[in-house]
Amino acid sequence: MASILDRERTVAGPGFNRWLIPPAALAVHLSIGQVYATSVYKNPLVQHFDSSLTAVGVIFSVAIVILGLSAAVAGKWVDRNGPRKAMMVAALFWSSGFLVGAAGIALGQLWLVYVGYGVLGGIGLGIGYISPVSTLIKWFPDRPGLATGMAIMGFGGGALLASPLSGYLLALYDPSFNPSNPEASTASGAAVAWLFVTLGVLYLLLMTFGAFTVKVPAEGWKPEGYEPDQGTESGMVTSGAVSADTAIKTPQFWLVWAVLFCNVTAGIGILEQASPMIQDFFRNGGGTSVSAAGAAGFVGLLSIANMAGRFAWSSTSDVVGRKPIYTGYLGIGVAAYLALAFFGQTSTALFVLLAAVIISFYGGGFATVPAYLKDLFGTYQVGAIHGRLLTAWSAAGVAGPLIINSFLDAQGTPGELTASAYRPALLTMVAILGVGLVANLLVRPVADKHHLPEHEAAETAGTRG
Amino acid sequence: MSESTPNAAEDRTSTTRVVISWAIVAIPLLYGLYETLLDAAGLFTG
Repeated sequence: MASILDRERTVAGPGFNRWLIPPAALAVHLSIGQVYATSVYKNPLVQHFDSSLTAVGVIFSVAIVILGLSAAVAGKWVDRNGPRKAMMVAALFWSSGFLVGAAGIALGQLWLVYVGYGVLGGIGLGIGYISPVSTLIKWFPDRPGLATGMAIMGFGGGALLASPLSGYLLALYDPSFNPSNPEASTASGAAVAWLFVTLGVLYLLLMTFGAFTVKVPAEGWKPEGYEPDQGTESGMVTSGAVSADTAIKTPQFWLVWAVLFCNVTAGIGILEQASPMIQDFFRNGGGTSVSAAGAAGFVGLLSIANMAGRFAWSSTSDVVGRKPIYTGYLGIGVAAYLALAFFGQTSTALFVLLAAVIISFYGGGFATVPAYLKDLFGTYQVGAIHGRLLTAWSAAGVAGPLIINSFLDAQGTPGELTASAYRPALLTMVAILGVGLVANLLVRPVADKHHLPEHEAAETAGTRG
Repeated sequence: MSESTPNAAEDRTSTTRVVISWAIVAIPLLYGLYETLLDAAGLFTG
């Protein structure tokens, strides 16, 4: 079994169509994107465990923290062992996370759900997230932004898929549950346990398909008609190679870390409170002109903007360049946040448009960053460098909600506020985006002294997936 | 192509395989997108 997963057994021969790689990557990201579609069974778990929303929320917080840690720790292992083994390991962890979680639900043991979905699932998330990235970049050296955008779009799409699918399955396992009105009925714990079993099996199949579809290009392969750059004039696209251990000692790594951290924190500022926020912005006296269905629709629209931004902006970065597009994400983001803070309450259409633009940049920031790292550090250990950079996501996942919630808590309760109560929080996000913008403008080409000697990089280049 | 790789033999991919592979991921993705669009419609009708 192990041998067919080895990188040496996954090298593509002549005639292999590289357009098989994006669906392989999408299969993995569509599966692990489920982590952002948990709201459908949060209340059933609270009731089943006779617990609090906070205690149940810890399951997903653990998963996200473990995602960042495992991506950082396992990055070099993934680069060394290739995408097939990494995807298969991710599939086994992600799937067993669901199965152990299901056992925890069935036995009434919440700690087992923490261990299952949180820890095992989190490891599957981290390894799965980075597993196809360096392979995609190597298959699409001519369009790295497009390639990683397609895969990372799948992560956003995974939530879009898992949310209605989970509602449908819960209703199947517990006919008293109405997924179109989850507030009025709560699915049983047994139904959630069976949902976990079903998702565990489905995702194992989908990710296994990805693992056995993916291949790495042979040494020296390049797309027909493509001539590798010898570095750009500005030096922002290197032809050199920097190891992961060296990369984290360069200012460029930490500047891009700051860029990602600021961009994600600002996006979370809206995502965290999207539903009450739109109702509060259009509150007149005691009531609001935006209904609960309208607010839910706004959340759906943001999910689509998030997914679309991942593909569209990352693909655009192949044309305009990585540094300029991040200047756009952050600079236009500052303008959009300012407009939201001061004029958002004047029109629902304007509010929705500005929020959608901000969230599309949030998604674009995630999807473009592997290509930015490839430009700066080369393809040699880009998977491992990307894995380490994802700690910025974990940190923003803690900082973003903390900032927005602490500001809003000082004003009252979200869902009972007015537009002006959001202004301090939104202006804080403007400042955070400003810091990210400055960090991006400070990014310069990596100094030659950090590059591996050419023969050393070449010796290992053919053995890296 | 590397001569030392065991898979260096012809590895031609059929168009059918590419189409089926894309369908396996595109169908669930489009289902999710469709359901979310139905939700999003609530913003304009709700």
